[in-house]
Amino acid sequence: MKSDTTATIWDPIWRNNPALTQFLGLCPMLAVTQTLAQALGLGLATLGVIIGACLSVSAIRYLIPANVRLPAFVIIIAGFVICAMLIMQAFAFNLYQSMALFVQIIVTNCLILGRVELFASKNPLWPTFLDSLMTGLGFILALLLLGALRELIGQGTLGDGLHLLLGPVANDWHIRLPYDYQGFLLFTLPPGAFIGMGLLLALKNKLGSQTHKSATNSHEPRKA
Amino acid sequence: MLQTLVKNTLGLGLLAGLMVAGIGWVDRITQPYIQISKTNQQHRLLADMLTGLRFDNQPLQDKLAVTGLSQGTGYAVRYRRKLVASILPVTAPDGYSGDIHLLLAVKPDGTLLAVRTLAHQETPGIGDGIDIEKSDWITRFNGLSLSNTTNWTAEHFDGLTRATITSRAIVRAVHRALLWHKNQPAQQP
Repeated sequence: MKSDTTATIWDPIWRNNPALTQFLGLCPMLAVTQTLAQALGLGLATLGVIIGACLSVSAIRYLIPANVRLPAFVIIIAGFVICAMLIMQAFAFNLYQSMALFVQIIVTNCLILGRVELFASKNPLWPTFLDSLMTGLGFILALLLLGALRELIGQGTLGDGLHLLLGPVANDWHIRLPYDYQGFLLFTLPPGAFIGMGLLLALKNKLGSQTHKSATNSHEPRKA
Repeated sequence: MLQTLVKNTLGLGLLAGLMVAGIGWVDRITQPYIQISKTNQQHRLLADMLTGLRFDNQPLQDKLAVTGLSQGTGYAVRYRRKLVASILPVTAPDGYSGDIHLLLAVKPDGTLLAVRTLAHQETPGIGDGIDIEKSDWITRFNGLSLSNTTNWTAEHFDGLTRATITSRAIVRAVHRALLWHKNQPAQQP
């Protein structure tokens, strides 16, 4: 029983990752992963919106009539996205300027509406909080993987611009590939995002099938 | 039927009202920080453009009219109340992906101190080299003027590699601003 709950909680991080398994939220993912810093910034904004929206809906779930629940959800999500925009502008101004449009687009991220509809509208506060937290973290993981891949191959750096998000403490937190790596422009542009995403998905599926194989292998001796 | 309709509409309206109130609260809290960030950014930009120039006023509070050049507002940079530089905004409408907003710092004799790109939509990795953060290209205008540079045809300038259209748009806009500046009545000290 306990391992069941543990599995459900950690599912969204990898096994049921919202972006890599459920294919939700691909638009912002492909657009704002040119650098690790951008990916992290968008991921944190999305995390804030998911948790806020899910908790709000969960708190008033008995007050929303079923036939107007979608407009109600969208009102709440849009409100939180605007707050996320304001907070980002206030505390990470320079980073915000490079991705203003895509922070606004978080509203259309099916990931959030999906979570709210499937889980938050039917469950009490604590499980909702855990679910939204894990989904958000899973999304951040997917964003970071693609962002790191694209920045490393496309620009030859890792962590460029992190100080815009995390403050002066992160001034030296970036590395640069040696040998005067010129950068592979394709990966900075959208086609590279799609290609990178495809590679990531292929890798994930390969890893997933291997763990499945090892699980089956470990069962066989018992059957015999 | 009608009763449910009215109830739902009022409910949604109430929810929207609550969200707006919440947003208003967040806005009120964050506005001071946002203003500080914006002003800091402007100050950093001006300090960068005016390096080496001695001035003692607050340019951002000393506005210059720029009718005929652009919709924005210019700023006067003074030392002991004499004008030592004008900050002029100009827009290049013929960028590769749309308008490019520039800021120029010009001395009263028409010499360019610096040009900076404020906002643009050029292609990342190619046209965005006009941004001082991405490359030094925009500094090639430093020190130029209508008198010391006779050939201002856009094709004559060394453009950004692979960003010919972008480069030429900027050259044309800078030239236009310098011509406008020359035609202004001399600024009174």
